[in-house]
Amino acid sequence: MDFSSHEILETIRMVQMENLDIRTVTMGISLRDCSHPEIDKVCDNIYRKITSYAKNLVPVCEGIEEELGIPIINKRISVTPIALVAESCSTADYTKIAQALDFAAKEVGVNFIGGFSSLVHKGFTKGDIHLVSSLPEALAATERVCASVNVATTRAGINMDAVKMMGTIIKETANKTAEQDGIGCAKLVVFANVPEDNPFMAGAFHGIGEPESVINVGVSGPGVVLKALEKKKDADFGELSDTIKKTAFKITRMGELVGRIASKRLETRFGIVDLSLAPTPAVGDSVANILEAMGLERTGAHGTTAALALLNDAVKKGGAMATSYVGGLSGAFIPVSEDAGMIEAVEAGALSIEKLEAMTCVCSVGLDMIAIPGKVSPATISAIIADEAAIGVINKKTTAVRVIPVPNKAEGDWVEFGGLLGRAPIMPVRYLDSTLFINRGGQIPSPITSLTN
Amino acid sequence: MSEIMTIEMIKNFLSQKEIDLPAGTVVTKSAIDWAKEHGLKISVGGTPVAEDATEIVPESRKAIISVIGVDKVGIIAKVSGILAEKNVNILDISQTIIGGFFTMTMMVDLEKSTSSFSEIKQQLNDAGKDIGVQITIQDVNVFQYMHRL
Repeated sequence: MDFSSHEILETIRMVQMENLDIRTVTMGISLRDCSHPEIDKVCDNIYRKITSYAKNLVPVCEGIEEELGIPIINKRISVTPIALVAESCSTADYTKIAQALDFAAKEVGVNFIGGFSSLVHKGFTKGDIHLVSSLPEALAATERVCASVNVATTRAGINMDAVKMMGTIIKETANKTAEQDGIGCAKLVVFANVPEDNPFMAGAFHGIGEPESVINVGVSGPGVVLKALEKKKDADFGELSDTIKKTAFKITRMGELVGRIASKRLETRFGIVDLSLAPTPAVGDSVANILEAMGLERTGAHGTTAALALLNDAVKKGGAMATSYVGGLSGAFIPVSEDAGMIEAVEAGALSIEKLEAMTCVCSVGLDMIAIPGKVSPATISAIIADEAAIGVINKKTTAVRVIPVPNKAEGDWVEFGGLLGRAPIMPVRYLDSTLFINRGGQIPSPITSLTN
Repeated sequence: MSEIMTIEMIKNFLSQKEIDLPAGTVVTKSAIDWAKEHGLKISVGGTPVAEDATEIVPESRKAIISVIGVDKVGIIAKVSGILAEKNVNILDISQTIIGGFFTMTMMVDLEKSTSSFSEIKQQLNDAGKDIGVQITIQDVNVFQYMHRL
């Protein structure tokens, strides 16, 4: 036998008992050629292009799942930031375009389509203003459309006008989807240093430097890492790191394999594998549990940031060897509502938004899927975004904010989004006033460390 | 700067059997692979483009079947029977008993089988249920990628 029984059983166990899966196969599609002054024509072009390029995405993925015996949980699409595609339109309201994206997504059978987005780190164009203004209505009027706004980069600094605007937009989006506890906000991410090839939602879009179409893969396996660590109760940090690296390698290799096969069968360029460790609400699929397995009583205890730093780094080292092209976010995710261990930690009062902010300094995503009280002011939300943007810009990393101010609910209440979006206890924020700070407007200049030439 | 021929551009030449591109044109690997699959011969400046020797995806039609369950007489016979009937060649078998659980792994070759992967998988699934064991069949690449550099 080329492979020992031990190796074969290890693979089977990872899939069947430890939640190893391909989290997403995302097809990126350029809609740059769909522009037109008439919005109906744009919608038509978008719908045709997406349904034509992605028509086999779901069946091909299902075939691969069957042959490899590894579940591909989500099939998704990402598109060119719509602010660019719709720039030439005479209509200011881009909701129709979001609806066209939604119809196309439903037609091909993907569960999310990302790219209703705008890049405003240096300022707004007309298209950007229209896109951002359309966000609340567009997210309320659609089910599968995901949106993002990039407000800062290390090179450009932080667009504080955009930061201020997004605080208001997030509140409006929550209010427009109040019947569903502000679910619109679960499909909206504000970024600093956004990557152009992220396959995960809600922040996925198909960047400007990308080709016509591409296949990007997101893997996952916090459960697999957890099981590997549980066997290492007495290991020192070197051994711990080594164990995570090896496990991350194996997990990412599955992404590489799936990506290559999908790319070949869909006759679409293979883009990247995002080696992020992404949790789900399912039992045994938690990043928080990994931190706890390292020896912390609860995620949120002192030591959590160090533990996450080790995890994030080891995942990257192991994953990088496994694939030819690493991209997207590639690190550990800490989305509160999507991680059973994080939810428990918040419930137990162990995890605060301040600790989460510290953790975002050492992992790939920012303050993610955090439910906050509905009464939080737009200025406070903007200030939260400004803090995360600063962390990203200074540290030359991606950070993001995806918070949901749940209308009519307060600290201690629960919000239930369902499915992969999960459920979360509403977390307290500080109510000290930042309005004067946020109202200043303008651009926070890029840091001196960005002058790398 | 030389001209570049990408996979997106080469698809326009589907109706032709051969194309000769101007000397110095760079043809991307994806374009070469696509052309090869669609029977299109590419040459640049009169010279045929060399095919890359390394294959990205072997897709060798080999698979690993694993049978896991409580030791039962007749498991090997039953599975082999199905495979023989479907013209699936058994290349290797290994078995072990760990903690009372019987594990059998087989490397098989599906090249000459006329049944589809799904059909074989379904039959093995059903057989597994009958005997009371779990039978999995997976493309060998899963193990190749995970356990070999």
